[in-house]
Amino acid sequence: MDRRPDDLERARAGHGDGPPLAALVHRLALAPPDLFEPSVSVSALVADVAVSLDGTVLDRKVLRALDADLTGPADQALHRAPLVGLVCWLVLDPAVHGAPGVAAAAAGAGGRSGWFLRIVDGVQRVLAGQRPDREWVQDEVAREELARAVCRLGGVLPAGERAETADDRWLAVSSAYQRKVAQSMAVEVARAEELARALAAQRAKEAAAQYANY
Amino acid sequence: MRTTEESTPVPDPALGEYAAMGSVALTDTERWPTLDADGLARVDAWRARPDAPVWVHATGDRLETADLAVLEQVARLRQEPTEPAWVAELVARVHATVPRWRRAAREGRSGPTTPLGDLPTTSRADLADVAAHVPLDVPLDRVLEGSSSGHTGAALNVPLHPVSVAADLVLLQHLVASAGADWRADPARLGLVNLVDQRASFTYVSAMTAFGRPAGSPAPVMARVNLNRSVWRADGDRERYLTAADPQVISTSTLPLLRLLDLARDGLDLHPVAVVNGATDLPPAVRDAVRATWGCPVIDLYGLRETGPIAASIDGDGHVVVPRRVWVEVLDDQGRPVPDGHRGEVVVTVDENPYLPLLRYRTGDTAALVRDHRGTVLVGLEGRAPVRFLAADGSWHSSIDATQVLQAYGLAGWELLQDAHGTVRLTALPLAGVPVDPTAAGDAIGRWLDRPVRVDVVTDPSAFGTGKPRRFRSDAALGQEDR
Repeated sequence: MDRRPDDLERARAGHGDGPPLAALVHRLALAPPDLFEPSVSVSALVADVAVSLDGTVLDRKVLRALDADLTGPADQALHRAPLVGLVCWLVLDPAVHGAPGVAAAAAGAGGRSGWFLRIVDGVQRVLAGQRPDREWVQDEVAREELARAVCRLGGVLPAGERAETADDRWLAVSSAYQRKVAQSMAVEVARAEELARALAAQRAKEAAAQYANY
Repeated sequence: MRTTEESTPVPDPALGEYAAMGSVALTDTERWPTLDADGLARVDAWRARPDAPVWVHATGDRLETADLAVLEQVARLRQEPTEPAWVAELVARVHATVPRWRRAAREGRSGPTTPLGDLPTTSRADLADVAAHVPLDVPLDRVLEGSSSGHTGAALNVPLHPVSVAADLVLLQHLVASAGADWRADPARLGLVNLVDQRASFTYVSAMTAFGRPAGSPAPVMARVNLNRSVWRADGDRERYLTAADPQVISTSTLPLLRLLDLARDGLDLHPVAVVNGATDLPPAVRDAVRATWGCPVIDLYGLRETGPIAASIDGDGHVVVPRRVWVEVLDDQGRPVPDGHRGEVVVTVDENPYLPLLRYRTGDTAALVRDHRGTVLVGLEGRAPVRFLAADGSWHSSIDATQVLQAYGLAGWELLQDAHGTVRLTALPLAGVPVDPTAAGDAIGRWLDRPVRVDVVTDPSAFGTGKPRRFRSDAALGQEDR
């Protein structure tokens, strides 16, 4: 699932039988507040989760790159670390990593840790900077946005949902997509006003000679 | 130029825009950017004749040098028998640039790769929100206001581009040549007259700079002329002006054409190389009368203001789709394609006017589609009948006059019916949120026909049914022998 949420085209793929959305949303509400503390080393957390998922030990290069992303100057505005921490929290839940759809998706991603790293990477790209940190756990819509992003990035459909439904609901809660829609509509509204002015101008009303009748 | 010193009064107080020169904005050099002093002098000569009518308007073709090169390409277009590649390209383009299709993409209803046949159709009612159909990426600095008034109901405000308007002339040259007529610029005559017969109409003289001709030869001049007696200064001026102009091509619609044939019977001596009919059905009897009177071909051009030309009939045997970027489907009531040879609604996809590319636009007209050696042909085209109303004094009046009046009073829709006894009933739909007095519109119709008018006001557009509105009907001819 490599589509960005601001893509105007819709994704219709994903393995069925993913984790229940309610389980994800509920778990987010229970996320430990420590995850938002700057002192927490989220890259170390990622390494721990990888080991616990399928025994994978992440090599030093991967971890250094992750560290640079999550703690470096580039992260000042985007606040990637809390998001990645929340992904770790979600994936550790057996209801998530044990879902049948996740097993199928992980098989196509080189194992559960490969699947997990894909979400870690995607969530930074797709959600970073979209909302204040704590909103991801405190706000109902934000929790659903993060839960759906995890499913979408992990290539699974929430349990019991069809691809079309999942897609519709994702676009309804995606901050980036909704912002893009709002910008798109603002451009269209401004253009409609420009057109009305242009058509009302006397030079438009003078028109051009016509050769045939319709 | 003789324009404002003698003005004719407008026929109704609401038609102020038709006051002589009430809508001009440009200089002549802005009207014809490529025309030299000699060319402008030729235009002025046709404006200033002592027998010229009181010109209501001044307008040019607005064509720049680069446009003329584009129009030369238009002349080389050919009609294709299967869905041309530009259709899929247009579908992709509008999903990125046209608000209506961007919205469909956002909502997942269609996208840049959706096949044309899977897209919903577009109706005339959809175009009431015209901005939703204008691409975001086309500069608006050349937009022209094109109003689609005429025989059928409420006006649409169609944004036009000078090049797509002038492309009509390129097409007419092609069609006239196809009909076997010889249309070469003759400086002694008007190259074309666009003829109307209405109480109020924009009339003007213009140079046809897009007219294909040998390099160095001057652009022929055309005029839009109103046959209505009220716009001429003196008895006989109309006949004198037209005789002097002896227009090479007469482009008009059925009712003015009938009027011109009457004038020809009364001695008006014209020698057109071709007659072009548009906007209304051309009954075979009228086609025959033109042949008998002037011995020239008659081209019946079918199109809509919002789409531009769609098809043309040179021989009266079906309308052949024109060599433009227009793709025609024929669909049933449910929007499904009907087999070739079966009647259905004519639906067009067109990419000619940069301000209004249209996907699957429902014309409201019906025909059967056949493909033969001439190309794609619409057989039995129906739906453009002119309507005439009977005034108390026994004279007949075209529904175009009524359209102008009803639009001027701000009605969004209407049905104007006259029964066999001459009784007139107006069903009026005022525009929502706009202070409109339907009774005043009824009074204006009453003055027009010198008859009492019963006015019923409705608030729901669906009261008129769907599709292209058919808003005039007169059974008065049933109750009285036609003239």
